[in-house]
Amino acid sequence: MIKQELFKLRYQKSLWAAAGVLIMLMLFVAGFTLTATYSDQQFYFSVAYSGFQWVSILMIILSATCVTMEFAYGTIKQLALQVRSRNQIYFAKWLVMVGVSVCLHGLAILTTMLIQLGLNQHLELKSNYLYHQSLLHNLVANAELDLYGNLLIIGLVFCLASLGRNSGVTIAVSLAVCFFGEGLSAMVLQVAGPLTGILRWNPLNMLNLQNEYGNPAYRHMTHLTLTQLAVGNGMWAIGFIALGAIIFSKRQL
Amino acid sequence: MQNEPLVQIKHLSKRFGRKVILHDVSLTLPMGHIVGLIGPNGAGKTTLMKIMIGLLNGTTGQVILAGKNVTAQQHQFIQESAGALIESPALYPFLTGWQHLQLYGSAAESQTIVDTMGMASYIQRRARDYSLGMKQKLGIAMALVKRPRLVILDEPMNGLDPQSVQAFRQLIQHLAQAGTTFLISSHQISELEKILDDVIVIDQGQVLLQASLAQIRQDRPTEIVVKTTDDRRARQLLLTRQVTLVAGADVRFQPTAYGQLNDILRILVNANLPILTVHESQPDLETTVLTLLTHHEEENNYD
Repeated sequence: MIKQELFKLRYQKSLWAAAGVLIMLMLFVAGFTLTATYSDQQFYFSVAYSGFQWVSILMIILSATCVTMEFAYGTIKQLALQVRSRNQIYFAKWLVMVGVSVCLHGLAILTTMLIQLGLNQHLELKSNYLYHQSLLHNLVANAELDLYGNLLIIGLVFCLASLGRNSGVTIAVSLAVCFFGEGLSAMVLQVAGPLTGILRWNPLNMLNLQNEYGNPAYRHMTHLTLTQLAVGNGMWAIGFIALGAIIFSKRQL
Repeated sequence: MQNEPLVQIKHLSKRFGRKVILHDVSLTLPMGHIVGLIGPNGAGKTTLMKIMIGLLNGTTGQVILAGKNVTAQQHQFIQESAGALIESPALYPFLTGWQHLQLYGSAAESQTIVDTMGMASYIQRRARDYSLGMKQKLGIAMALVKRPRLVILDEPMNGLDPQSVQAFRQLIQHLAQAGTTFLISSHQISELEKILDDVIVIDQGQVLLQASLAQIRQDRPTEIVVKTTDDRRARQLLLTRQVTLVAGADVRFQPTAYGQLNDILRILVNANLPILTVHESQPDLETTVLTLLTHHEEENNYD
């Protein structure tokens, strides 16, 4: 089933378009940072010229399309004939999307390095940056954290996509959750009072993992340490993936 | 082995909420037979097919394929030995026909089916550019490419041109002779009749008839049609002489006694009505099915 998913992905223009769009957007952001201060340039380098954020958006689009297209085209029936359990289809898709996320993060790192070589050669990659680590180390750490955070996003999108057959709706809802979710969570936690202890574990709060790594002051807003955010992120990712699998396998064909 | 049932369905029922879709359906599909599943829209044909291939679970009853129970959770036989085209062909618009076939079969198997079905001229084009007929042929090819033992086709002749329908019939007959069992649902009963071994008629979730086509032909009443220069007058004349005629515009009756034809012809000759032809006629499968469905509807209305 994984082989079949890779075969289909190979011929989908959206994957190659996503890679192209990622490079273009990173170059665009990099162009604006040329006149920025050295510390700002360091920051933009460490976040791959916003490449990791773009990867999250692209992963929402690719993941939503990957699941909903089977229901929209009716091809889910043909897939279901070939497997013992529909979970095989669901997890094959999930694994492939995680693989795509890894590749896009790798592409973001590669593009960042090429931009540095071409446009920002004065940036010292071995210079000390956050957490007494080198700039290059910060870039890789951010990539790893974003990759980990993407597991939650992909899980959430898979869960939403299993409910419908319209990729547009799934993409819109997922984007809204991912972009306004952090703010919504912060607002809720501000007025939660005695319930903060429980509500700080809400899934939207976990989307702050990378923010808190980049800016430790976020700790006051999330009410969770980095480790707690990482654990929560993982638990919610598993929860959404499992819930999505149940919906996917029970859905009437 | 040829007549051993590959498919056995026992007391199968399916409900969606309070709506009964299938009610106590029991039937068998002998190995290597081409079985037609006929019924009006909403009769439960597609639901029955979906349960047979493990896309849905029945509410009660059993589906047994090659001796093993099939459910949505347990359908190894389907995985390994069945092909299906349910509702419309399920295609990825961004893949070519050839790439679709490669998802299910080897290059050699794909090439064979492409050649057999005459799809070579467009098989390398993306499915988004296909006409309805091309999509339908690709859907059939995808169901057949693995050379399955059981093939379930839901309205396979939709959108096919006459040449393709003929090629389709020949292919199905060839594969059935080699041992493949087919369950084909279609509203094109006259086309189906040319290839069927067995017929299942279903209406409102109930099986009204399961029989071999040979049996149905044998059971159909033979009718005699007399063509005259004035059939209307001939009918009136015969009806006044208490002859029972089949409803319709022509002079048609089911002979009930030896010599009855002589009596009828004598009445017409004595009335100076010129007789043009006399021939035997049997209602086709379509007429038989429609009669059966009409009776069933009348019974239901009466109840």
